[in-house]
Amino acid sequence: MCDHQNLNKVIYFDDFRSFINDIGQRYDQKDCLSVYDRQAQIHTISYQDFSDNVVAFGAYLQSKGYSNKHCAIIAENSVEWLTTAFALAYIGSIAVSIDTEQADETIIEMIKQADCEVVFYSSGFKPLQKHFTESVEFIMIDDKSLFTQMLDQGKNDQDSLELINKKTIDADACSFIYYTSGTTSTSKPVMLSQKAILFNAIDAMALVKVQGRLFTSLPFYHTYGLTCSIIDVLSQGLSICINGNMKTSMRDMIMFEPHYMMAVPLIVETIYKYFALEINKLKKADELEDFMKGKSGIFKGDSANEALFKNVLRKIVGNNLKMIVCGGAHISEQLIRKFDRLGIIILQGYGITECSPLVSVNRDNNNQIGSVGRVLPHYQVKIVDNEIYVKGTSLMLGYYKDQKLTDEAFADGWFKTGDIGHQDKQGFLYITGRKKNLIVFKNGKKTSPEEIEGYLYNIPYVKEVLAYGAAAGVSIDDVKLCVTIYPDPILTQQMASYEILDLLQKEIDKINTKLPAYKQIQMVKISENSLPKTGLNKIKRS
Amino acid sequence: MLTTIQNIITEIIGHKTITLETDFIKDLELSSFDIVNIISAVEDKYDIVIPTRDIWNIHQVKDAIAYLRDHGINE
Repeated sequence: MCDHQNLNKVIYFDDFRSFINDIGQRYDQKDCLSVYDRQAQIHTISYQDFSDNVVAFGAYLQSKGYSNKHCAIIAENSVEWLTTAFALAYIGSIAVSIDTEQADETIIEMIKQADCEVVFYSSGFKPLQKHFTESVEFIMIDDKSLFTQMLDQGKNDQDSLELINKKTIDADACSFIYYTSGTTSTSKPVMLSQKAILFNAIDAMALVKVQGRLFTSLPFYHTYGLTCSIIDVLSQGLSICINGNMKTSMRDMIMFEPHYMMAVPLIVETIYKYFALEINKLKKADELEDFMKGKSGIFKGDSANEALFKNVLRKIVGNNLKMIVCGGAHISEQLIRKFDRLGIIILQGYGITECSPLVSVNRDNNNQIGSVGRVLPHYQVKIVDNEIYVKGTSLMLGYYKDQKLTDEAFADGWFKTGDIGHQDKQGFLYITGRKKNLIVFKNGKKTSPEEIEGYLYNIPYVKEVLAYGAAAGVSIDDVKLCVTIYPDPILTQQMASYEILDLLQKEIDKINTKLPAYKQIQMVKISENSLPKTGLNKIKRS
Repeated sequence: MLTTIQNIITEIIGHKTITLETDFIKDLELSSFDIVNIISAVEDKYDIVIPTRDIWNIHQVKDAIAYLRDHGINE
């Protein structure tokens, strides 16, 4: 259970209409969202203007008849992405968030599966339109002048403005659909209510105190990005820099000089790697290693070496960074301690899409390194056969159009996370493994081995295949996607082993071109024998 | 062009032995972040924009060079 003592003071909202109206009024002209363009020029919108734009876009969507419809958003992070999603919630429609990194075929399948009638897209996804009938409307949101025109139409449409502010919003009904990796070959559509997401975001702020400026490059098409790096922080009136492009994220972070940031382990590791590389170039690697052996909390930057480390770090993360909240995948304790030594606190949290997503997070004033922190105020956790079960306000409503899968996910109202862990006497939660069969990458993305195996079974020469994540050797958290293949003995009987491997590698290279980088198959092994089976004749996963 | 790309990779991630056949993931064990940062530096150098989705089709150094040549860049 959560330690309900000394929670930060927060205000909860049931629905996005009250939330959007409140932050617009409360934080008024304060800087809300900032983005840097390609030329590194910053563009900032105030809380009042952002709130007004959400309402205006809602009115526009209402006038177009998009109320109560399922609407996909397939675009990179942007202010327009957020305006669209919040406007859809404002008018009671359902926003279906689509992962832009997925293959075209997967994206098309998701849009169809979620019964979307409207697709909001960024220009790179226009070619997808040809796969849909005219009954599915496509609206581009990354053309600034076009978007401004739509906002202006909404602002001047008094009837629609009046209508949307009078509508009754069911805060407990499905308002967002997020896809999450399942243990089958297809992703699962998770239905979340407005109240679930808002309570989850505000709960996070009851545990973690944030001040100053925040930088985030987490994708909004995952609940982690939207709930934990946008909605929670908006509720506190912070200035947020959003980045939608990995190419410029390091540049933007330095320029924005955030006080804190939201990240996945990949980002934290990258920052440290670049820091160590710069130190290496200055021929101070040994000094850094010695320094890292020291105790935490004494980094003052006053000795010559410490001053050097501090200056190098500043060039990578800016002058102000004090705290990083990290989730999505496991981060090594060693890395957390290194940052601690450099004066930057890393708070590890734990979440799962079905829980909106946050279940627990460490507190800025009580950080138990190695744990994923304390359970949120509106959640309860219990451990059943080592598996973490969760119950509370922010649980999903179920998987869209899949009652069977939904029923399997719950036990007496408790959501079975599939994660193995335990809770100590102080209430800190620890994750020690996964019951569900998923490969978790450092960027927080997950994939099921079955999905990868499904691609490989399309190769005629593949008789049996087993996909798994293997330690990449660089660090324990590095995961390399590997496959072991038992080739069809009949089709390959005239071939030498190297010929089979060469042929399979060519086929796998073709498959890799259609997959996002983290999901690409990096290692192929050939088995001369049929793969070991379970009693049910399924390929055994060790 | 190979020398320029070799220098960019060395500057960003420190590896010094880079050939046309060097594979970003298999040989250099780079993360997606590293690859994007390298491509971003290549973009700045040659004043070109490479869409993120195209980046994942660039596996080896020679793929990057071929991409640049296909888009009218010669050195």
